[in-house]
Parts: sequence; structure tokens; C-alpha cells
Amino acid sequence: MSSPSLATPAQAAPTAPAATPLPAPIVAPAEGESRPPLTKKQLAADHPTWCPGCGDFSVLALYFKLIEKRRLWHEKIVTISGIGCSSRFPYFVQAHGAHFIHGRALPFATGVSLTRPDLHVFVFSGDGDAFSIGGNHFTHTARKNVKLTFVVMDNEVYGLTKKQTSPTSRTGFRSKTDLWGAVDQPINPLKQALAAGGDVCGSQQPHQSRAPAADDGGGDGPRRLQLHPLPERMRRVLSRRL
Amino acid sequence: MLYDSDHVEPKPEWQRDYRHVGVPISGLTVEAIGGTARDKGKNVYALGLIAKLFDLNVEKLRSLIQERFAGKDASVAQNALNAFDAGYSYSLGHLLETFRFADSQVRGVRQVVMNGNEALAYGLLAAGVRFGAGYPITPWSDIMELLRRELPKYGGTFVQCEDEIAAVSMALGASYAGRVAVTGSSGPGLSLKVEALGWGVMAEIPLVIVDVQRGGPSTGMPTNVEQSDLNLACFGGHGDSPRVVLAPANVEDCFYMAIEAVNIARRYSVPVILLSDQAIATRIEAFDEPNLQKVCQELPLDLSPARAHKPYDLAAPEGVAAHRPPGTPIVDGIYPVVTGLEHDEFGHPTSSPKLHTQMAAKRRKKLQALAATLPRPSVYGCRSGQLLLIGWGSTAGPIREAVDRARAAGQTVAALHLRHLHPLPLGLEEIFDAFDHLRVVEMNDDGVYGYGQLAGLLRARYRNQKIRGINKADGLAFKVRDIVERIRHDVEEAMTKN
Repeated sequence: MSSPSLATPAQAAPTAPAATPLPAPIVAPAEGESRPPLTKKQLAADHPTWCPGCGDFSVLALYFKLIEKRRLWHEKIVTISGIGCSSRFPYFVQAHGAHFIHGRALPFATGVSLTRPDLHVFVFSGDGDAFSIGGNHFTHTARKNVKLTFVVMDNEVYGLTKKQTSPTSRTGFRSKTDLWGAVDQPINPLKQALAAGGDVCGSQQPHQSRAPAADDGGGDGPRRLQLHPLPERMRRVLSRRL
Repeated sequence: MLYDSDHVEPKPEWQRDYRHVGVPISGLTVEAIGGTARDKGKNVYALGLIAKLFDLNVEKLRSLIQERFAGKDASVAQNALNAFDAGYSYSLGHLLETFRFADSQVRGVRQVVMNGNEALAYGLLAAGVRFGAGYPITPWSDIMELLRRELPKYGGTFVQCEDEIAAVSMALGASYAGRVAVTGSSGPGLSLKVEALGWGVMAEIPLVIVDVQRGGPSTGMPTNVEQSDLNLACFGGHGDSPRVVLAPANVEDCFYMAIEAVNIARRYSVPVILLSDQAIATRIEAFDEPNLQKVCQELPLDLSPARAHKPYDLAAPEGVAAHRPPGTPIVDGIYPVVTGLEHDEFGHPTSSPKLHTQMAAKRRKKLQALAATLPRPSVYGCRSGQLLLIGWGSTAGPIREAVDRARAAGQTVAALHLRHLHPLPLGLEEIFDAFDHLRVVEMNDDGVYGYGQLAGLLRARYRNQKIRGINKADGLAFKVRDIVERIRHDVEEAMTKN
């Protein structure tokens, strides 16, 4: 057998054409170092394609607010999604983003988070993406306890494909695929997440997004979430993680 | 051929190829250490015979035996040594004189001994891969187990995932984050990975996918060999999704091809499939120890700021814009999105017919650019003649030996072994033109239209009517004799036709 040859062309990395000198490299964030908070103007990218009045808008607004309040660094935010109305999210955020395949955003984000603990990994998903096609990954990612934030925008229906039954649709819900009403029991995502070992889980109705939930002490950002079932411990963990 | 004459009666046709020497191994083992013929010890007795036959280092073997049985009762080790000594002192008579070791076998170069799966895994480590994800499946599991054990030593991680799709997704995530990652599987698992593979092509993310082929389809024959995943590797998935497919030819090649796969994936931002097979995976070979100083590479994370960045820059040389992982500050504030939707140069969705055409061409041209850099494979045997055998993967050994035998019998037969299957290297036409007949030797079915998978690919590519197949899909590797008989048949048939 002839000796195997190594592909030499692969060695040379493509180089960007040299133009005006780049600014000095930004090093890893030093302890206690802070930057001016990012504004909504800096963070807004494409105009959202969601239907007028959709609850998704308020999630996007809260996301911008979270980044601003927590003074997250622009390049350190990663917005990851799967497929669905919700999953158009990365295009609306001016930050590194990945729009992955249907249902698999969580394992993709796990790969990002495990290799790059310096990043803030946010995953946005809908009820179909998270609990139906990606149901397996939902349980296992909670079980692996990966450092990431998973936000599911649950509207109890498939919206992008126009009104088919979703795994959180209530029994009796009439849709294009269940003309006489859905027969399956809806799943309870919070119970599933807690049973699988997720250590910070919460749920919130859209109308609550503008005012802090009654039991959370009136904080900012994600602390507005109504937390289950151990609010004190959860809040502690949440504040440490973000 | 040494055999246990207590158990086996050689058939007359066996004697045609090999001389058979019977040794009553079972009986003599019982004589040496007691017990019954069903008890253990025969293998160590046989080791003694082999040590005598090949003049191996007896002291070293004895110490290895003691080491092997160290944790057990002292009598176990003693029994093993007795069996070894008995085997060693068996009189093989004049048989010993039939062997003489040629000087060429004494080599100054240090050698390593491993199987194909191990070589492939160590190749990935040498290439700088520090993240992997997988799901257990035979025969891929060995690679996964080895990486899970070895990667943490180099600051890496290997994750056992909940399923095959999670594995490929996680690997793509790690690659996107700037660490070229590996995932892998065998046949059924690769089927599950192809949707995400298509995303990797569309989003232009480097990735290495190992497929250790086994008998298919479906669950098939998990512990048998077949080369029937080539079509899936080259064309599997929806839409036009050009990706790179490589196939190592032997165990040593597994090591170097793993490095090459990583470098191609990085250079062209494209998923690369490495097609091994069960025969290479489990075959143990010795090869020259790689010069680790030279081949090992680090893949540092480059987070240097970019003034502006278009992830899908249509004007980029060869259609490849350098991948900027998250963490890279983009000074103009326009951050990239990597996506499976057809996109504009910044990664934002588009349904523009013009952009879709341009982007599809960009993805295709990367492979064409790669093809132009691939070395033209060398022809084994004669430069022109009656018949050229074309092979890929683990069949390299039997094909070469068949060529040697055919040439010794006066036929002008040569062999061409392809390691880069998709894209194919340039210049194969000239090689093909120099031969009267072309036969693709591969371990897969003749196919609905009469051609195996590589034969079909080559016929589509070169529109050459001479390309036909020598196929075998019984789950076993090719024997030299199988190929020699087909050569004889085909050459004679050709002679009579002419």
C-alpha cells in the first residue's frame, strides 16, 4: 500500500483581505469589568415577521431588556432556535445566532455551551419544536443540566403551518388536524422539566410580562418569571447563573 | 496452516492453497495441564506453537502471560505457563526449516499495532479534534469509547447523547462554536443524521462524520462487512447538498485520513464523511509509528475581532468565508446568523431565485475547488492493458494480491484505489482510457440497473460504458480467489469477443 498522503492544501487557512487595521483584540472579560449596556436599537435586527398582537413580541422585548439590564457583552450572546414561528427569533436579534433544524435546537445549543462556557447561550422554541419533535431532547438536556437558558413560547397550536394540534393543545381543541377536537391529553412541560432534573424552571402567561409576578420580589429580567416549585432556591440559582 | 487434529479434519480442497499441519492441540493441552478438552489453556498452548514457529521472544511472552493472569490464583498462571512450555517444546520437525525471515522484515522504524477504529480515533485526536458526540452502535462504538476515554486527557469532551440526531446536532453546535467536532455512527445511524448533515452543508459548518459501514439495509448484519453506504454518504438527504466523502484504504490510512478529513472540513467549511467499514474497523495491522511531532496539530480558537463579517460572502475566494464563531466581536455591529434557510450573504432568510442560484453554486464550487487539489491516485501494476480493477475502502489488500497473481499468470491487469470518493480527483479519464476493461470491485449489491454503488457513480461521472462491477454482498470480505476467478473469466470473455 502506498503511503497515505496528507492533504497539504488544507493546512493554509483562508485569510481575509487586509484593509484598514482592525481594532485591538478584545480579551476575555476581566473580573468586575463592565461595558455600557446595549440598547434596544443596537440589538434589534430584522423586523419581526410575527402576526400583529402575537405574544412573541413581548418575549423579544424582554430578551432585549434582559441583555441590557445584565449588561451582557454583545459578542458573547448566542441566540439559537429550531423551526417554527418562535424560531425566527435569531433573525430579530443583532447577535451571533443559529437557526437550526426542527426540534434539535437544544442538542445544538448543548454543543455550543459545552465547548464555550464563556458564552451566554439562549434557546428559543415553540411548543411543537420543544415538546413534540424535540421532546426527547427536552428531557435529556434538562437531565444533563447544561448551562443554557431555554425559552419556549407556547401558544398551544402550530402557528407557522397554520393551526394543527400541538402537544400542549387542550383536549377538545379543534384544529385542521383534529376537526372534532383533540383527543390526546396535553403535556405539562413544567412537570416534565422538573421530573427530568432541570434546576430552574418557570412559566408565565403573556399578560404577566409587563408587570412583575406577585411573588418574586419585584426584580428585573427573568426574575419576573413565576417560579416553581421552590421559589427561594430557584431565585438563588437563577441569579447566580445569569 | 496449523490446525487442531483432535477436532478438525481438513478437506482435500483446502490443501490446494495451503499446506495443513495437524497438531493434537486439545489432547496435548490436557496432557500438559490436566482437566478436560473443554477447559481453557488450548489458546496458550497454540501460542507456544506459534512462538516456536516464528522464533518469538520466549522470556517476554512468559512474562506477558504472568502479567495477564496476575490478579488470579497463582495456579492459573502456572497452568498457563505449563501449557505454553508444552506448546513450545512440541516437535514441529522439518516444518521449522521451511521458514526463513527475510532481512527486509527487520526494520529500523518503530511500529504501532492497532485496529482501524483505534487508528481513526487517534487520527482525530492528532488532528486537534477536541469535541465529539455519539450514540452507541456496532461497529462505531469502539471509536466512541476510545474518544470518551482519551479526549479528557487533552482538555476535550465526548458526550454520549440520547440519540443519533442529538449527537450530530451537538457536534454541529460545537463546530459552530469554533471547535471542529466529530460525530459518527454505522449505517442506520447515518440515515438518522442526514437531515442535520444537510443543515451543515447549507449553513456551511465544518464537521467530521465517521460511518463505519456494516451489512444493511435496516438493522441488516451488524457484525458483517459491506460497502453499501456510499450512495447515502454522497447523496443522502433532501435538496442539493454537496458534501465531501473520503474512504481510508487500510488501518494506517484511517489515521492519516482522519487528519485530512478535519483539515478539509475546516478549509472548506463543509461536512466531511469518513467511510470506514467493519473489516477495516476490526482488522489489526502494524504500521510505522506516525511522526507525532509533525502530524499533530492544535486548532486554536480564533476570536479576533472582525471589522465586518459576511458569513456567506459570495465574493470570498473559492466561495469560503472564514467561519467566525460566537465570541468574535464584529466591530460594525452587524452580527451573522448561520441558518438552514436559504439566505443572503449575512445569513438572513431570502426566497430570491437569484440568491438561491448563487448560493447553490457557491456550495457546489467549494467541492470543485477541492477536487482540483486532490492528488491523482497512482495505478498499481501496469500503466495500460487489458483490465483495470477499481476499488475503495477495505478491499485494497485482496485487489492488489489478485493483480499480482493475474500478472504472474501473464495478464496485463492493474488496480486503482480511490480514497477521495466525492468529489473525485481530476484526471481519472486518462487512466481509464488506457485499459480495455474496467471493473469496480466493491462489497455491495449489483443494483437494480446492474452496477454497484461506486460503479454507478463512476458511470454517471465519466459516461464510460466499459465500467462494470465485480460485486459481492454476502457480508464477508473479498477473498483473493474470488477476484482472480472473476478476472480470469472477464479477460477470457474479452479475448473471445475480440
